[in-house]
Amino acid sequence: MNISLLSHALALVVALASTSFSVAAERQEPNADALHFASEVAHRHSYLFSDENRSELDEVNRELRAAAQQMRSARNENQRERSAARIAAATHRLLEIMKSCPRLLHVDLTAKEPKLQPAGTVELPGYTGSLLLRIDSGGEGTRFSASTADLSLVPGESSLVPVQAAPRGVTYAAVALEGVPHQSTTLRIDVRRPSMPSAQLPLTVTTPLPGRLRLTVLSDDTGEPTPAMVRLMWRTDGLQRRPSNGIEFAPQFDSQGHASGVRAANLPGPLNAHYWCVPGAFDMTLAPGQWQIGVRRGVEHEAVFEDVTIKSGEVTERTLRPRRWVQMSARGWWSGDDHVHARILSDDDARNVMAWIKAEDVHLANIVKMGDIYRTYFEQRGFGPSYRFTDGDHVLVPGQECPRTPDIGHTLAMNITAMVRDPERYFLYDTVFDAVRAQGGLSGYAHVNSGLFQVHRDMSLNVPSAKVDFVEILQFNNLGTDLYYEFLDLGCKLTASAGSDVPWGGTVGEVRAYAFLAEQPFNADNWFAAFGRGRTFTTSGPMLEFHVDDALPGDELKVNKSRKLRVRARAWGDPGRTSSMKLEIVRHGEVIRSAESGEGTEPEARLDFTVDSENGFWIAARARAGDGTSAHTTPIYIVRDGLRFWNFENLNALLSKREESLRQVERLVDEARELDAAGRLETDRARKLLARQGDALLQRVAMARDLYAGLKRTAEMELGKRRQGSE
Amino acid sequence: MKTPPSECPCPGFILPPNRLRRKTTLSLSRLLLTLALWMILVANNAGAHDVLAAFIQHRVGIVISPKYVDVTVQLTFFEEASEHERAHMDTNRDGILTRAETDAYLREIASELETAVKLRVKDVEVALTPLRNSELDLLGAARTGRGHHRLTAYYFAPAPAQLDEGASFVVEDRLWSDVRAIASMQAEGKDGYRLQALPSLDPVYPAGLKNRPRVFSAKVLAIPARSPSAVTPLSTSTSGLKTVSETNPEQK
Repeated sequence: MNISLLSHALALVVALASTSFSVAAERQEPNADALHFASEVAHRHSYLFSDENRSELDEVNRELRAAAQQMRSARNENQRERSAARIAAATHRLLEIMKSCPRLLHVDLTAKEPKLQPAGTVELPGYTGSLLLRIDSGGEGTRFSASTADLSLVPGESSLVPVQAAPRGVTYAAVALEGVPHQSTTLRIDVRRPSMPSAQLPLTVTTPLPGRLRLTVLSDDTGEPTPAMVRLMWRTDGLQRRPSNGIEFAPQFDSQGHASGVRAANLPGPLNAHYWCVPGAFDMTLAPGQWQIGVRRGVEHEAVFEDVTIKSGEVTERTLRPRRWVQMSARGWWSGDDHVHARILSDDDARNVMAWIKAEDVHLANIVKMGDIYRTYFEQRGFGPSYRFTDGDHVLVPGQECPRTPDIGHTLAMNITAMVRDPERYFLYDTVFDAVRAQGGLSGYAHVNSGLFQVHRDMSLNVPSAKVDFVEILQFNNLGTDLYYEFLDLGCKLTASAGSDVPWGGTVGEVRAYAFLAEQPFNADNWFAAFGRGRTFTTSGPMLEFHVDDALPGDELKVNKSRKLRVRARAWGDPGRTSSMKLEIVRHGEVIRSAESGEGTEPEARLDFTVDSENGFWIAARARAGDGTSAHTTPIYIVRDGLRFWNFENLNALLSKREESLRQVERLVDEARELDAAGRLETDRARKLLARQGDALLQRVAMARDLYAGLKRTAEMELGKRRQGSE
Repeated sequence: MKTPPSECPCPGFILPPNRLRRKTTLSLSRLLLTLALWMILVANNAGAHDVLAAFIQHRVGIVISPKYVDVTVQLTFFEEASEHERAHMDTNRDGILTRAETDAYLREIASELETAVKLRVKDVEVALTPLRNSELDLLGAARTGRGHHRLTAYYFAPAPAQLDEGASFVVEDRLWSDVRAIASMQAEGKDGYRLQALPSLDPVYPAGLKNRPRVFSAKVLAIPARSPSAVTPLSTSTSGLKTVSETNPEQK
């Protein structure tokens, strides 16, 4: 670069810096106008620009922001100058892009009457649109502004569009218009400058005639129309619109959680976008332009994303058929969600939720009426087989999430014939577990993956006595096994389960439990029977197969003497969702073997090896996919004659944890009693009831302590045999 | 969200409020929220939502392309925290949340959003820059009271010149660190990069983490065949960058 060119460039940089950032100098920090403007045009107004300039705008935005940050952290003049040079160069590029935009409107405020050029109407793409204005107030300086006007609101004068401009120089203004009416609308651009009267200019905007979309989603199993999770995103503004028949679940959510029909799954990438459940085909008007249709049908299907062009006045028909990448039911595995909250008081209510589980391809949903010590939520018509709602291979079964306390955990029950709830015995969870079992139902704990609500306390009371069947180890796409492993290590059998917990969770089936029915036909009874045997795995993405010899998850494999066992496992996933898969075999909480999918191959990992049965153990398979989803089986229990399958070496540490949990329950009762004795619980019914039920709860603590003492004695008795076995 | 136009629709023309006052206001806000949640817990007011309603869900996304590392932090405020923040947004106390109010709220928390998220690559801190203004989605309920809402903050950094397989990316998130959190992370590699999100040691964070970050980690599984060297941002194409429509599916 020769000297004259360099000096010319420097002069340009200095000029731009001094004009664009004159305000910055006053504020002692970089100018926010240009940053905000660049960000807005790059993200909200990008349709005004060519593809090439869109990319350039993104780069300019990043460069401006990085340089502004550098300016803020500059420690000396040299650094500030370098930052200013970067900012000036990027601002220069920004101005060049603006000037080259064919849709730039010129507002001349230097004449006697303000003028807008080119004259005529401005065509907007549809629901929203953008105006890019160059406002010339005369004099030096360049400023930027960005604003939004929602034309659907009528604050007396709906067509007024305020635009901020500098009193002197040129202001580039980006205006985002929302709620734009159809056809022709006359706006008044209201240019507001500090200490000056505003200048108003009429501008007529038009929108093209809408088109129509007819969308049908077909089942890959039957080829017939099916419910599906659908998103419609207009590429012009990046916003989504509700499909015309999208189900609004809000009334069934009792104003709890995210009480809306639009659902964002706790799943990776585009699966986390907002989707609506549509029960079937729909036909709706849409603004013309490029639309992205997204269709999701649960973990066993590939998600479909297709761009369509909607043309003015024309009907566009699309039929999409999300392809199955796996059909677990054909392998005997049927999906369920153990934790779905929704009010079902009518057939319409039931049809809505049925459409949802069919859309997500979940075969069984445990629809839980929720309770606390005060009241219940998500009411149901009733419980038991006559209140199940079945449609083909899909069934809604009323269950309960109650008792639930923040002090000792939340519980779930499935396949019940009546709700079990008694506030006078609310903290005595065992009474509920016993009643549920007497009804032929299954009991479990919610949120065990995260350990929420001190669930370890009641687990310490009731898991060792085998009153509980299952635990949620996967929720919100978080696999959590700490508590699960602690109780398995004590030799307690527990079935692995998963539940979405909608409306707090994203969508039904985002995590799910598969139960193995083998050749049996699917129905709720067979599913619960398989689940009750522990023949399950949970997943938010990967699929799992796991055998030890011929045993399946939940099975007990008895061995008379130490012998080799053959372990076979497979984890695989949707190649469209994940690029890698890691499979691990866990014995007593430790990974004893793992395998990963190879570079450039399908996301699948397999293991086939032998392991010595030794003195018995629990052994399970788990998988983690590269996209952050995971899966875990219920263990297979290897039981040596006369020995528990527990983690014998860690027994003292495990029992110490349980003792600490029991002490916490005791302290809880003591505190409640003290407060009650002091008369401080008259407005706290929950704690009052805890104080009242304290004696009975402490009896449970004592019984649990006896049980743990019994386990210690068992360990002492096993000691000799274990020594023999290991010799 | 249907809200009237901002009273002053050009944030760039508004002088930022005094930073000290803003921080004080925020600290006070956090303190009040913490106190409110603590009182709920202590009072054992096991209402409809129990304590799950008091959580904030933190979802951290990281996308690595040859030129940039893009970090997105999305917070979904459950009932208790959402109610508190909504009340804070409603400056005129009319129960309706206007765009002017939500814009002002975003401006108020902007500096905290900018400084509360850090990135470390291979154990070395890399400066994160806000990619654009943060976004607030009231999830269809532009009013005060209980609900859920979602706050999304976007950041980026230049991609490190040398990235090896196994290199670690750690996002430290100090946003609303004194409120219990349910946490998850997503990691994505582009143009030859493959990433894996590492499971969090503790998916549910306890309260009282003031000044201690929630940590989200990912590691590089594979790099492009020819690892690109650092490039000048303005001089090359932008393939692999997410567009607004891909990253911000705001509901209408």
